[in-house]
Amino acid sequence: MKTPSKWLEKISVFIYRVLLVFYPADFRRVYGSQMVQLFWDSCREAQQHAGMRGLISLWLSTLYDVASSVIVERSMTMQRHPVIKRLAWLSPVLIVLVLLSVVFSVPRISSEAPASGPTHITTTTPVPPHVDLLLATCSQPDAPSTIYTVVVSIPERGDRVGVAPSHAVEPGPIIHDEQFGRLLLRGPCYDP
Amino acid sequence: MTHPEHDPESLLPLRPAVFHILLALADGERHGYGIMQEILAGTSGKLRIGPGTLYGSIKRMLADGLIEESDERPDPALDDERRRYYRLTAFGRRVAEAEAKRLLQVVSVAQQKRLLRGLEPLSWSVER
Repeated sequence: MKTPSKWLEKISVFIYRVLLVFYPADFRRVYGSQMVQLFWDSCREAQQHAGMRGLISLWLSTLYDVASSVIVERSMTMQRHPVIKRLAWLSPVLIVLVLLSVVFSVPRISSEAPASGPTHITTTTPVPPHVDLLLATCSQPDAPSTIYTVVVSIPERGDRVGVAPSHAVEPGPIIHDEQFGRLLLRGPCYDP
Repeated sequence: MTHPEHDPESLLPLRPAVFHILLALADGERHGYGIMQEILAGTSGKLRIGPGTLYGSIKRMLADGLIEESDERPDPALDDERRRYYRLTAFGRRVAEAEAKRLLQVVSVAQQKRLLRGLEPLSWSVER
């Protein structure tokens, strides 16, 4: 058993007292002195058993304890705070607002399709024979930043050119989707 | 403050710190350092609960009626009168028992699945 160093104990306890300021005031007022007493006892015991090494080990575990318990006590204090309590009823309202915004955003995005719609797509990309559906993303000349997806058929095969319900998509490179027999391409839109 | 109307099961599963504090107080009242020492001894030194976690748990356990502060002092001559002692309430004992049973069931399942080597299953038979 080693003789505990009094000044190391005092310095440690002083630092621990300072760390207590991170706890909520109510908690500190009720339990602060007991926590200091407990830490002091632990300091003495750690030094008696393992000297400086024991004290360092105690400090490492104490720092973790302070960090984790401060977060817990602070969050619980915040939950009891009158302002937070008063605003608690807002959480279901916020959920409803988020849901409503999702529901109403879908038709809004759809309505962003051009009124006339792109009706013709010019591309020099060769269409493989097995491709029976052509998807293209394009933008109108007056709104180049808005990209629309359109579905077109292949004119060489006597199909009509059609416009699908469009939604905004990120512009990207030409993608050959062999699995689904589609060709995705990007190009300008022209009115006939 | 006790909660006789509460079902002990409603508080399960307990956080490890809370269950260990209940265990430490099961055989008598103790102060904070005594609780910490008892937990260290009961876990072969593997679980050290720091002051923040200990008194945070004690605060909530007092509010839940699991423990109460004791007015009695073992011997003022031997003890620092600033220390506060805590003891189990009847409700706290029921909650500790319910948690112990719950953990026993868990251990039983682990034994049946042979996860605990060197320990016999809880139910076994000998054929002659």
